[in-house]
Amino acid sequence: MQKQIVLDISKELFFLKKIEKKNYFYISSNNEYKRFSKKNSKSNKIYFAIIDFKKFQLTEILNIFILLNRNFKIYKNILIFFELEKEIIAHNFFPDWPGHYKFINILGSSYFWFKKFLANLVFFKKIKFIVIKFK
Amino acid sequence: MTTLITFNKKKKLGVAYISNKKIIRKFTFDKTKYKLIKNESIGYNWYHLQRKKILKTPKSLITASKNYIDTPIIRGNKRKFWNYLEKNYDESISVIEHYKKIWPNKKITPCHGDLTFSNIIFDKNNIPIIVDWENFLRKKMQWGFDLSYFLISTVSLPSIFHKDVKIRNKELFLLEKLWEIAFQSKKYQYLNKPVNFIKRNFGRTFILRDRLDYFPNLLSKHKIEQINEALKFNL
Repeated sequence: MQKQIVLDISKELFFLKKIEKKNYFYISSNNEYKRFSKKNSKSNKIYFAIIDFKKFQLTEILNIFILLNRNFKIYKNILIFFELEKEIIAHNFFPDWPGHYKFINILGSSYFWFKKFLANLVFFKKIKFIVIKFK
Repeated sequence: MTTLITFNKKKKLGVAYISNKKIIRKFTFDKTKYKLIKNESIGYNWYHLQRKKILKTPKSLITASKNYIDTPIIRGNKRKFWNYLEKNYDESISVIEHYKKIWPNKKITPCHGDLTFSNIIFDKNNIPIIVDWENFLRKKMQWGFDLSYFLISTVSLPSIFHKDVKIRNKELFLLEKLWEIAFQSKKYQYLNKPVNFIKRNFGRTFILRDRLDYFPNLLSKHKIEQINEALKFNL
């Protein structure tokens, strides 16, 4: 999966028509931490940050998340991109409640929700990118 | 919150559920696939206008652009296409009845192009709602094309999914019963060898897609003969 696909998908998901390079962060190495300083990005509106999951350890990802959270107003429920054989899927760390789009009772909803939540762990190796939306 | 339900890497077409707006967004950023979005929009409008006229359902509002279409969320359940017809029989009957109600009783009618259980949502009253209109053809196909495609898919897709060498006799028997309900007193040339007819229409009803995405192309000669033989009574 390439960065460009994730960028294009994110634009569609967040209803952003035109977006320039300065309006989002692409974090694929530790050097890019510098770009997070609020001072540098004050003039530009930042819509989201794309993190290349494969290039970091889990602790580093947590560090980035904490750093972003400290410097910007972000949505905590991050979007996780999985690359499967023929398709790409993505859902929030805490997924949508299935009862909103399926006719099932609360027990069924809980079951499907929990299954989707567990997919974060089961398909951990298939996670390619993480997108954090800014408020 | 957002869920990207799927983004097909080959088709370069994505479907996402945007929960705060209660919409489904279908999108592409490949200019060669804009036609699919346009078809989706025309097909969706045609179908929901028919539903409004016939079933008196409320108007369904959509927002469309050249690269995306937003439609309201449809609350319901899907049937698994890989389940044998035995399990999906009652739902298949509701699809036949729905088709007969919605599609105009003319020789040449609009065509969905990929009517299978994957593209049907059943509401709380088990009434089908057809989605995924990207292969829509307006006034270009004989009446019943979608219906025959759907009925054949109900036995073909499970057999392909389970890698069966041949289609089970019980399945063929049920298919024959459904076929009779669907095409009683209909005399169309294509009903002679329906699988062959459907197969020939790849590229016309199923556009900008890989040959192997079209399920009739995955059927073995033996399976095609089995289905054609079971549906011979119509002659």
